[in-house]
Amino acid sequence: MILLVSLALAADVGGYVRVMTRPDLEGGDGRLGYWNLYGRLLNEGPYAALELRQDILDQKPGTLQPWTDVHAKIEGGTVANADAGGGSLAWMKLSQVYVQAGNIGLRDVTWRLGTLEQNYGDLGLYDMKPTLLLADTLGAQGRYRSDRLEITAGLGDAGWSMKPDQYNTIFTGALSARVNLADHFEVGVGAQGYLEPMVLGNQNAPHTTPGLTYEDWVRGQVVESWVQDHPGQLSEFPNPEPTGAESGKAVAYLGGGGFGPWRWSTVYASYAQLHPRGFVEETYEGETVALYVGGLTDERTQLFVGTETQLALVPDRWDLVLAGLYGDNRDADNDITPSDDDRTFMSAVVRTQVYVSPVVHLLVESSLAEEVSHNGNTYRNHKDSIFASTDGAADGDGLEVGDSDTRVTWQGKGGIVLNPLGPGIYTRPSLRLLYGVQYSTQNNAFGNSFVETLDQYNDFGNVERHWHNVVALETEAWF
Amino acid sequence: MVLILLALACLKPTPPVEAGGGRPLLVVNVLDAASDAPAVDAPERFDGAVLDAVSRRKLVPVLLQSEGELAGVQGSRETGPRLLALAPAAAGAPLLLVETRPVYYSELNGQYRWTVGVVLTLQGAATPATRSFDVPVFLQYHHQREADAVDAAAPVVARKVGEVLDGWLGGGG
Repeated sequence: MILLVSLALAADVGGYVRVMTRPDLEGGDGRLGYWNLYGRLLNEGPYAALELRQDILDQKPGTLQPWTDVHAKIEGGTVANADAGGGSLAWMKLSQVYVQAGNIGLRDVTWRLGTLEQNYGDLGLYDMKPTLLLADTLGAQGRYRSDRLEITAGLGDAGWSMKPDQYNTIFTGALSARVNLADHFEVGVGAQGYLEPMVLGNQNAPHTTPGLTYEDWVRGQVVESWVQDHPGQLSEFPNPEPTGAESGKAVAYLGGGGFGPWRWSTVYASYAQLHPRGFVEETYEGETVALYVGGLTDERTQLFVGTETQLALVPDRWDLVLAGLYGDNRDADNDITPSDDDRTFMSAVVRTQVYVSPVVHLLVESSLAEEVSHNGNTYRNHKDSIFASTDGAADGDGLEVGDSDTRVTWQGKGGIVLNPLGPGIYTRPSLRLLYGVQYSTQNNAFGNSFVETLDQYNDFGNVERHWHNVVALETEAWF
Repeated sequence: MVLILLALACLKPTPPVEAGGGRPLLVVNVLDAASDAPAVDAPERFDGAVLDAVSRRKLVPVLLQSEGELAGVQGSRETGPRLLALAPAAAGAPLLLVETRPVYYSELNGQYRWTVGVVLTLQGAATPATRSFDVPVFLQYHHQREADAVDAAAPVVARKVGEVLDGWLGGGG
């Protein structure tokens, strides 16, 4: 639809597609492993994005005449015949709509109103954007850009993005700056802050329910415990107390290169204090109670450091990319149960591409990753680990899962790549025939439809598998 | 797999029209930034791709830098006045003017999309041959700007240059 409209308007249409078939004879869903920590290749599903830019007043080279354009972007992770979504538009979203204008008021400043975004780049092998700011904001942004300096400031409301089902205004603002030195080195810093003010009477505004304990919350027994302590007094359950909420994120970026075979290196770092959550509902004996868990989710932090280096070992013949990342998520409120908010993960990926001819390439990639839970076991290493929890032993009341707090994953990938536009690890479009293999300490460490129960009436049996193999026929293109 | 690779790698493209006969062809490549910055010469890699497309047709490319005595090229952003400014240097010889206008589009799923508007003008026959088109290019890094965008468009532009030259030479140019 958007394509037809854009064509009718003679607009400039850009986009991105990634589609693949990966027949999996080992019961998987076609992805080699769980996520991008092991490198994006063979671990990502299909994706399609279409962006329309309509010039209202086009930019006139050599002049300071005002210009303005409109952008709209629709995207989503589904393509017909490639995944369960079947390419449905219900899986797509209008992720960006904004109007830009330049040469108005200030020279070299681009104004933007609508959805915002500020980013210092991508960790290509991981497809991650550690320095992304303002992507959750609808508001206004100004960007000064010269040859050596770029300064971006933006502000707006992130409420609909951060609390779509419990909207409350969350003021946010960000400031970032980047300096380029002699084309071979650059540095950037930035920060974004969030403020959700106290609003009396608004059930979606930040509140705290007094007396909550983390264990009762994760077990879903807050109301039950309270009633046990206060028999027959459910109607007297403590009322939430209004409060405010703040959070923020700081980012830093270093880049350098442009000497001989050293094309470019990037180092990205971010540190985020996550925003407290709103309320969850718990039902006990037919009575539904809203529990405001802001006080149990306001000490979550995320540290992330990632780096990537591109080398042209033999120009137009042999390229190499090295990447690594380290992440440390902490939740000071949670000392009892494993969670994605309380773990450390690290990974290294190396990809090399040899150009047999300008369009025919050989690709080889390998990755090694480790994920460690801070609060005990969370990985099942064996098919009978369902009985293991606390310290690897059966514990019906345990909050842990499985027999290990650590998952180690190795992946190897290789195959033929056809690049009509010539050499380059990131040159697209690419048509690829790839084979991938994974070894994980976790049993069946990939999306699957296995029956995990050890019940005697399990008709399908259990499988112990640490190796996983995938053959992929896929294509990826920007346009 | 080795056989597949060899088969794919050995596929040869159709050879260009090689009817240039060693004649000189003046080439001017210009980069017009969207800002009010003056026009500058296209980057070296882009020059190389265009000159290669010319050479492969048995023409002898002579690259004219738009600085110095060709200041008229920088003084205007319009094709007509530029051709007039280049007329003395061309002195009746065939001339290829390649004007590039890179405009930043947006960051699109991890790469920075630019649109490079291109106007090719071949002044060799009685009527100048002109072709205008846009080339979407994708840059990986945040610091890459206009010159990198034009460089990235070089393979597509070189192919279009070849098509224009083939048409001219095939028509007895």
